[in-house]
Amino acid sequence: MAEPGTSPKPTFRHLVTALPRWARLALAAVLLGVILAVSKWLVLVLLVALGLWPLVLLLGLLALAAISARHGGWPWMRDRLTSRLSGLVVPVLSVITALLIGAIILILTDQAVYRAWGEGRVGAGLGAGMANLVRAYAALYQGALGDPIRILGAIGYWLNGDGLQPLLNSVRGPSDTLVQSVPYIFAGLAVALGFRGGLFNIGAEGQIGVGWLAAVLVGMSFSGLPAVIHLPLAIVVGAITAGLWAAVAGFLKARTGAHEVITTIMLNYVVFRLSDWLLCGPLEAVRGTCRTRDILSSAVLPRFLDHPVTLHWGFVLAIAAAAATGWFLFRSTWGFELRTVGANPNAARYGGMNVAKNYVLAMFLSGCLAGLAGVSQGLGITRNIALGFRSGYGFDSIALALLGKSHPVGVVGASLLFGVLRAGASRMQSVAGIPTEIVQIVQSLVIIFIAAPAIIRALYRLRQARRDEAEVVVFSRGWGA
Amino acid sequence: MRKSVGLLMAGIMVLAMVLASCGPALPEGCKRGDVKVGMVSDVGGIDDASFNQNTWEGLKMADEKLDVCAKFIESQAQADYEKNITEFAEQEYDLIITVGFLLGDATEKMGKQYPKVNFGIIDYAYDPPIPNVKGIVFNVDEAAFPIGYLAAGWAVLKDPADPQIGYVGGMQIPPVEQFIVAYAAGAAYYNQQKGTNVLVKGVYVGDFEAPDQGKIQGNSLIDEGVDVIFGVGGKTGNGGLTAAKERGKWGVGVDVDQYFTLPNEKDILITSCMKRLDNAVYSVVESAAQGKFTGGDVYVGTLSNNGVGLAPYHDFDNQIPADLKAEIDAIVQGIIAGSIPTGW
Repeated sequence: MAEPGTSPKPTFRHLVTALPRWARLALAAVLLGVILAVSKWLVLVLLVALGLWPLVLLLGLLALAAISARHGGWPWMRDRLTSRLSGLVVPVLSVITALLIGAIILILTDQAVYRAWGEGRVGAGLGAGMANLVRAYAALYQGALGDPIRILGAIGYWLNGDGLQPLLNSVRGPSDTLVQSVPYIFAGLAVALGFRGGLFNIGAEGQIGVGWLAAVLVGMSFSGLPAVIHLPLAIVVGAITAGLWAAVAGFLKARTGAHEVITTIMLNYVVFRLSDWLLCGPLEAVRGTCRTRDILSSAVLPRFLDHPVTLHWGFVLAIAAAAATGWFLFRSTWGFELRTVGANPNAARYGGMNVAKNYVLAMFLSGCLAGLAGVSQGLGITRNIALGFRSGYGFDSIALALLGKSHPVGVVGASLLFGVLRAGASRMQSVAGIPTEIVQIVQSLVIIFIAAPAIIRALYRLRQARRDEAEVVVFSRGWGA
Repeated sequence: MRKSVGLLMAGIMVLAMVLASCGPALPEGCKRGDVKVGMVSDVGGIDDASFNQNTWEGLKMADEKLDVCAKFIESQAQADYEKNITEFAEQEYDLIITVGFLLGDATEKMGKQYPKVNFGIIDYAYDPPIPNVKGIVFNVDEAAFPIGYLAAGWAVLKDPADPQIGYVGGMQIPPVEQFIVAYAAGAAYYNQQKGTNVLVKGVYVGDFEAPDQGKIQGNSLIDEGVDVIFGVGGKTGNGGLTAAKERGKWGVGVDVDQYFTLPNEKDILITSCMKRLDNAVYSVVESAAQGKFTGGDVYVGTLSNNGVGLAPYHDFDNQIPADLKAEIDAIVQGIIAGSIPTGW
């Protein structure tokens, strides 16, 4: 993008800001309309790009090289790359290292390897182990990002006029990845926002349930409402109900000093047991199913494309929620207060801020975000809520917030990573017979390496952290703080 | 240094491409021409020592004996059911077995999405039926009724002054109640035949994964005078059996012959109420392998087709009186003939 200050020509940006307010609004509306109209194709392009990411990366580098030609060539490009990517070095190396260790564990837990070793065939054993490893990781990759050859072939088919279905089938992996990351993004944001406010919200799991339940309840009632009202209503009610539920913990902390770790864990149990009773009792649709009715079609979060691509609008909501959370935390006055209270409640109180209000607000917003994780699952995927809906998203989200350093961009990145691993896990299990637990091992290792970057720096002999990496985020404080 | 990192990343990229493109055409250990059977577990996981595991045993048996290739995926959440079924369907599996009534909804939706794939679902049946989905259900009441009779007889034998039998249940849902109702009916039938007054007491803990709670409830039942505990409900029920073992009482296992799966409690188990998921799944897979799979109907495991049954008495074979054994056999025959109602 050209810098507005130095450019002598009027840029696009200047033209737009020169327009009257109504015209700008109209322009925005038209733009939004166009995006909505072509959203299906945008999503398809996104999924294909994900599936062909090495190609996309290469194209990006080529484009950058072309631009750099105007700015003095390689040195400019190198500086630009270093400044943009330096923050990514440790996370990427952490993932690679975790996958390598995962590979060693895979080989060491492979029965075929031991059988061969037992017969004295060390080489054959290692060979079998390697073969199984390649099969496992190839399946993990394909399950999460698709088979690039197949995607290219499917594009050829489509260009040939043979229909879209092969292409849809081939991008199921990228779609699964994004679908899996949706609840992670919401729940990770929830915990991250809590951390920023000095609160350790362990109750995300329960709040997800509350949001899910409330959204499904709204979704299955009010027949006859048009979708433009029904769907937003279900989403908002789900989020606010979960927010209010979480705010109970914030209120207890503000009023009585009860630690939120205790109260949110206990509130989790209340949700679990109440939902068990509700789902196998009053809300059960058919005796013996422990499941509510399906929501009405007017409350469904629509999917962009046909089966088996299940990506739904919840993903857009999740990205929007991340942007909104970022704006709130770092650009708004309330967010500034919330962060100040989180960093040092005593200083905040001295500065005239209402600490109690901020605790309740932080828990409310955190709960809203967690609730949206449940909302997106209920309205986007399952379309009802059943016994056993619990999934550990709430607990994984604590790791996600840590992994993302409690920053929305970091949380989205971490969620996508977890989405990749989780989407690939089922393919790995079905094709190579590798238990999904190996993925949890890899996830845990990634978190360890990111939490302790010194390990990675020492392993790969990287230089010391720069200023921006050294930023300290207060995650939580001890008892009675 | 930075260059080496860049090189490493480039290497990883190339590796990723190579890995992705040399992906397997066939799942591991499958031969071309095998009938491919996939199993999707519920959130309990494949090693739950209960119905997921037992279903997988049946599939493994089919994998070994028939031209069948069996694979499984463990679901981690309700939202994963459809995705995991899709995984198998898109890999062009011939038969997909979904385990448990919790997958009823996802199996129905995917069954309609993939009309050419055959499905079997454990513990569930559709009304109206879906043409490519076979329900696999079990008349466990047929086995639980004679077990109630046996437990009552055993309690009278060991504690003639105050004979009582009990149960520790998981969640109060129909698949669990089916055991309990028939168990109680069996005891009532004993009372009616013998003129005794064996009491039946029990609790539903509300959880399948709480052995500690099961043990606490088992202990309080024993405090109230219960002599035989029927543990129905995954790990929770097993907790009830642990209580019986520690207090010198007796127990009845469930789902599988728990004499073999609970080494600690095996010497107090007078029998187990077996729900032969393995036999049922094997026979469904066998029919699919022979091209005789029929959808839209229901496989019902009964006493007569060995879909349900009583486990051997094992250590108690010598202690259970011969006439009680004979009566049990007579009741089993009566249930098969339809002359004795099980109360379910």
